[in-house]
Amino acid sequence: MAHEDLWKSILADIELQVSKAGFITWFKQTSIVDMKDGAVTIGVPNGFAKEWLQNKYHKAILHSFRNTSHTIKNVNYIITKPVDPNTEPAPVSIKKKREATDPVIKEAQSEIRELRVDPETNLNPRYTFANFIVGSFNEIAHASIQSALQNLGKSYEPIFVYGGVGLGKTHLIQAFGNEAMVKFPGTKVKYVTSEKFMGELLDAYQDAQRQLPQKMDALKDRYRSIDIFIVDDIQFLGKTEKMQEDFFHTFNALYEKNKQIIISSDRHPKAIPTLEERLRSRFEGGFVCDISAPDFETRVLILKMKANEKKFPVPDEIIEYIAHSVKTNIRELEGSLNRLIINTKISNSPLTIEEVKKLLSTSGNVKKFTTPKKIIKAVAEFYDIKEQELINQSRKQHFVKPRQLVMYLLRNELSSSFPSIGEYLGGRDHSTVIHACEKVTEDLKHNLNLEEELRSIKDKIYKL
Amino acid sequence: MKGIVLAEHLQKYIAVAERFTGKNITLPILGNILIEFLDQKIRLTATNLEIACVLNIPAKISKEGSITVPARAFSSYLQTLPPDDKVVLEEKEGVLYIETNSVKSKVLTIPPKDFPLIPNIKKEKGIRLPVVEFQQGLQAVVSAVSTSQIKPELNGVFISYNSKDTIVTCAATDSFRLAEKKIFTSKNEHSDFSFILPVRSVQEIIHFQSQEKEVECVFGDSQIKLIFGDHEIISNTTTGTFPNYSGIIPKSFETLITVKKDEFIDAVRSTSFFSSKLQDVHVKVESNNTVEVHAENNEVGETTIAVKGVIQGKPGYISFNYKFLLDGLQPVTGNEVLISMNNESSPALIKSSDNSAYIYLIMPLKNI
Repeated sequence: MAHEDLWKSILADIELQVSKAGFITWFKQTSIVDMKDGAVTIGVPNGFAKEWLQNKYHKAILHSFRNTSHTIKNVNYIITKPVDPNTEPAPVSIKKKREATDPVIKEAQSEIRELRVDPETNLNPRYTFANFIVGSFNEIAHASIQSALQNLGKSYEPIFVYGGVGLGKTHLIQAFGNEAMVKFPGTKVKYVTSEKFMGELLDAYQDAQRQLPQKMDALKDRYRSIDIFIVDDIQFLGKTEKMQEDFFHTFNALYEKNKQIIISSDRHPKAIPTLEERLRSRFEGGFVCDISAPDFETRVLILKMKANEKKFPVPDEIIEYIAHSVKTNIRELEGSLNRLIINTKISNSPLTIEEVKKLLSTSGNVKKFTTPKKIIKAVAEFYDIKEQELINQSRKQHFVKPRQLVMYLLRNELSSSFPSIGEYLGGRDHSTVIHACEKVTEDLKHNLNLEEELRSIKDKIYKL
Repeated sequence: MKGIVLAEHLQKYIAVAERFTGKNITLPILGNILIEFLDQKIRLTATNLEIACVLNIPAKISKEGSITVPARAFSSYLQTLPPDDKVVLEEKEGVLYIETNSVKSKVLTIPPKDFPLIPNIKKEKGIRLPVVEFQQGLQAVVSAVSTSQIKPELNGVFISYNSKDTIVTCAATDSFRLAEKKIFTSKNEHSDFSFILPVRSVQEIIHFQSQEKEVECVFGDSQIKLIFGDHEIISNTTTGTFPNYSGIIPKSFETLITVKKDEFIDAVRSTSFFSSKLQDVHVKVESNNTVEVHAENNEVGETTIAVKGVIQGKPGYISFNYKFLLDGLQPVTGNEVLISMNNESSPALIKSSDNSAYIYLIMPLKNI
């Protein structure tokens, strides 16, 4: 950071003018807190340092600053929390205390839970409800999380939120954790990604194998004593059976005690292959809700809010253009906005639509490449029918549905023309293709299953 | 500089100032006391950069000036002087000449230019607290202060003032036990405030002997100044928020034990000789108005002491770290102590049987 480097060079300058003892005593734990309008504010650890620097070293410090930058006119000092936690601890002379921290005693002594010294929640304070935008695409998920907040542990058990990449799942569940900590101080909240959970388990296994069961016991204790358990990206758990078993035991232990559990995944529990039945049924027994892609209005809102946060006013028409072109996920929206901001800052010229168009088209819109053949193959495999059948004339619903999906995919993924799609799929008329695409689009709006299937098929296509 | 002062004043106050000096390898002058000869008084200043004292002693000054002397050596030396003697102090070229009727000495001094400056806290309205009660309040809770460095907010005593009932509350906890003492003050116009005093400062304040009835507390920027008449103690306050502990204290208890305080403390002390490495003593309550205090150790043996008391509620059994238990029992005022508990894994509350100015919440030992 610029401040840190600047302060380092100022300190180097001052070190040469001051006695070693003086330098170490008074300048340790100082830092630049703020710098604007030609005034620098230095943070100092306590009142004595402030007094000393103000009276004895002010001239030297100001002089140093002026040497590096002519714009600095004034230096102020404020007392801030010490940056380095490793300050020389005040020599506490109450002897009995030293014994209380003896590890043997610590094991046996219970602690007042609310005052326990390690609130390792892993939550990122950046994610709050305040900056979470609700739209039709996520209002159910949002509502269920809010209701869980009102009735901790008594509402749905567990809450399972799923949705594609970059749509706000992590934001939502972390906001829940952060809010719960404020609303119910003293509750133990733990947020883990399934990957971190598995990592900890693995660690504990390895120790257990070496005849050291403490880590395992400690892990079990830790996880079973939490009040709110938030797991992100649980689909990764599906890869290992043993992990699932352990997760199941932890889950059950908390479930029995009516503790709130929130899970997020990139797909519906039904769609996680190799997920143990018992886990699947328990997840489905709670509240399963999805977060789909935001609609146009919401995208505009999100962009506006993010532009506000970054203190960068963007004209409405540009926001609408971005909202039109980036339809996939919120992360991409933010990414496009960031690109714009940086470009403007570098080029120092105001934003025009043409520039934006250029930026967004050359940027990450990497077209995922696929061929008609792959699409047909994927769909055929998914529905377990022969590729030939898709091209044949049969009108059996069994084949018509997949065929229509192929048409929809060819249109959407490859932007092929209607006649060419018709040609490819057994010499059909282009109007058949139009009808198919419209039908699938309409169905997708009501049929969740279809959405699932389509998603899985797309996954398949791009893996081929 | 030159002046005359009574030996006993000098002895007393140099000894007090010595307590506030610091052992800092990087700034050795902190081990010295700043002596200033001012108009009709000698001012002694000492600090370790966390806490500082400024003491003003009446003296006859003929020439003003300032020097610093090494605290330890000077204080020890002064103790050897007869208290009734008048001491003539004179500084010439960096040497302090000390002269009484019978003694002539020289002490090398260090110029005060490197001595830290004591921040001057502007005297806006301060709050006046009764000295004795304030010191007792701090003393009552200081044993519960945490020594762990993870959460610095717990390394001190939390002092808060509620303007509605004009009560100053002192609290401390290390997450194993929580102590709180309320101090009642007279009506005043002060608004609510709260701050955390680091434990070292608390210890010095408890130790400070003052003839004054009241101490005036003035707040500065992350600092507090306590004015005891002519003398002042200035301390840093810890930044951070002390946990809100009001919800931690259980609202109801299933067993209430009233015992004579001294008898119970003796019982705990005696049984503690038989406690194991865990420093555990066990308290058993049956319904026949007897409390049994028990401890056992494989190598030494075991003991049970019965204490008569009044039991209300269910019989119970609970184990404590005896040191924590004694810490909580000592500050109880009055003859009788009331111990309230729920079950063997819930916290127990200790207080005087006739008032709630002091409460001590203690977590038990896990029964394996």
